[in-house]
Amino acid sequence: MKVSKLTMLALLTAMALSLFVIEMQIALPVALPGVKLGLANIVTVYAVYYFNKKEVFLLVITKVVLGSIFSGQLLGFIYSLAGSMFCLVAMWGIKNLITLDHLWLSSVVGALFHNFGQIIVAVIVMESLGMLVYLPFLIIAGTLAGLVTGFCAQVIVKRIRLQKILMIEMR
Amino acid sequence: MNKLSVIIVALLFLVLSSVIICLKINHEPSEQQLVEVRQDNEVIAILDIAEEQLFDVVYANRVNTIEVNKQGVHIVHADCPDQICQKMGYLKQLPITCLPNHLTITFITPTTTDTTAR
Repeated sequence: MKVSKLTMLALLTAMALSLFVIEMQIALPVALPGVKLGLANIVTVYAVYYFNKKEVFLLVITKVVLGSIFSGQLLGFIYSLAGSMFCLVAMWGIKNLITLDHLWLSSVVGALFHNFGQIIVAVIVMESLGMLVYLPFLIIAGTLAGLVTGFCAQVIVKRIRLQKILMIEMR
Repeated sequence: MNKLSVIIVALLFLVLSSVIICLKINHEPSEQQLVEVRQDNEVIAILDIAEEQLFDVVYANRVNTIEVNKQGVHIVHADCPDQICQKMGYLKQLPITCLPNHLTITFITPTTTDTTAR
């Protein structure tokens, strides 16, 4: 891996983690397990379109591990990991269908799959199918959160030319 | 563009059906009298909402205190870091869950417990 690319990935990881820490301070009006804004998703969606699979995977894994340590909730690690992996796989899957102009849609799909992953883990960990009651609520919350982060990512992709400069250098 | 509209329509359908289900869950009247406390697929207690009480549930040295009072059932204290179960407030049709402590609290229909009790 080239140093410039490694630096870019490290920078993105740092940004994702900063967003994650900021998000911990934001109190959401809804108290439901699994509902969150997922600001760090902005970075993931962006990375999915600009980096290859191995690089995004590294970014997400680092973010999940460090995020769990920062939040002090190692219990949440497995939920976070499952959610992120589902989200990532889903976004890779639809990357070819959704162009960069409709990045927000990719973010919504990613957010939804993040919630699906979490609910599957919840069903396994809690050994109860009762957790599925939360699914419709999580779908609505996930769609809204995905829209917010998606539009943020869309704006960033349009505005930040830094990426272009770096990409040219990287090639 | 065609594939894109298919995805959007599918998402809209998913969200709309979720909204309908959510509204249905929230609007169902809760006439149930009994509340089931579960931990790891094991029923550890069945509480009667007419009986005011405090109930402690221990999981890996962490305690959740469930209170039953005139207003209903809620969690007054939780040792978990996220405190979501406490913030969820009083129990409605949607179960109260504490993911870190593997705890769920749900209303159950008395008829089923009656038959098993007999």
